[in-house]
Amino acid sequence: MKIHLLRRLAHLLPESLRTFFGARSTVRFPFEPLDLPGYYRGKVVIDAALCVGCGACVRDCPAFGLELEKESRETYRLVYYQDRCAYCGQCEESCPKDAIRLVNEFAGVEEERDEMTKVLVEKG
Amino acid sequence: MSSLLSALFALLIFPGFGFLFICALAVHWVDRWVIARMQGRVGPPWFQPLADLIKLLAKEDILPSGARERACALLPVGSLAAVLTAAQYIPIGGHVSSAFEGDLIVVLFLLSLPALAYFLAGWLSASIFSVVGGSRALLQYFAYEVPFLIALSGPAILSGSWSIRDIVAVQAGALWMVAAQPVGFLLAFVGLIGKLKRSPFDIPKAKAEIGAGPLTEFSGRKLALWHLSLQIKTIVGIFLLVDVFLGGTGAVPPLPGITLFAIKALLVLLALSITEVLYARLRIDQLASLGWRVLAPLALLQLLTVIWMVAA
Repeated sequence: MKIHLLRRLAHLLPESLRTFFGARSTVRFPFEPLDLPGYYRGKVVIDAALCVGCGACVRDCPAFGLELEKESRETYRLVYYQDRCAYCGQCEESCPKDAIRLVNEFAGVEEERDEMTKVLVEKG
Repeated sequence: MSSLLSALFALLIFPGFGFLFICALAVHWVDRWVIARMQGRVGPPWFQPLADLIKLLAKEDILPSGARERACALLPVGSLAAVLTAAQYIPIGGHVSSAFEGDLIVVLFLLSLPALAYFLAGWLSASIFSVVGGSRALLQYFAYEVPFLIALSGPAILSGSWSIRDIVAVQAGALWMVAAQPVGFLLAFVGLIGKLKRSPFDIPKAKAEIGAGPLTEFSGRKLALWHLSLQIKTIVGIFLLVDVFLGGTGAVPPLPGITLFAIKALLVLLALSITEVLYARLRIDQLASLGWRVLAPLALLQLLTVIWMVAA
């Protein structure tokens, strides 16, 4: 055990000193840009042109974060409740037209809860 | 009247509570910052230790039912008083409030009182984590205190005085004690790590196992006093090592004594921070084995060498 302690000193001290004088790992977001990995499930965006209002995303959403107010095939509104969303990515999986995606950007927050309810698609 | 005022100044401002308070916060920040940088983190801003203290002072002070409230309130105060009293006998940059033959022994005694208070805090605060932490603190105390005491008695024997001021005076213009007793310095340093309950000897407050050890149930003002007491103990321990082993103020031209004292204290602090980063926590049995099988025999060997040096 004693030898192990000395060995650790010899191995870790140069490493620690390198870290001390090197760049820090912590990123001071939002004052510095932060590179999120491509697979990060963040902000929910939708390509309204691709959406056909089938309601697959609404049906599959486990957090009841989406709502489809449909009057006819051409007239509908897709409402997104950001405060309910769990960012699980199920809507992205379910969409047959690949219209809805979770991009690698942080989802913003609002001061009022009502402001977190957003209309993603409005047609007709 | 003027002597009373100067005594009050020494007690409250320099080198008393005010100076130690500022030093303790500064040392705490440097310690945290160095550790953070060595781990690739940013580290706290300079005012973080003060902010933490103010936050704790403003928080609600609660204890679980079954805890001895009066004792738990007195223990951090006692611990803080002991380290502040010890600081009165330690020359800081050449200034010392009071000194007498044998003050080293008093300082060592006063510095071991917080360990007892720490154990009692665990024992009396009605929590299983606190009790386990308290008993570990006491076991740890026996492992590091013996080599620490023997290591610090070496310079006293070599300089022929048990007064810290005299030990510093003997080193002025001569070799520092660390040159004559490098093993003793190393042992005192390891003992100080144990005293301050820093990694790898942070066994009593092992966060992943027993919460915060004896301080688990403390909050608010009591916890603030505990933290302050431990921080001042750190600075007092560092000053003690600088005085006894590193020549204290002893000026080396062109540097003035006080600057040199500060640099030495900073170097000891850096060594403490680096040790904290490098080593993971030992188990209590490993520490007991290290203390009694390695540190204590080494300390005795060092002591015998010192006695031989004095006799020769």
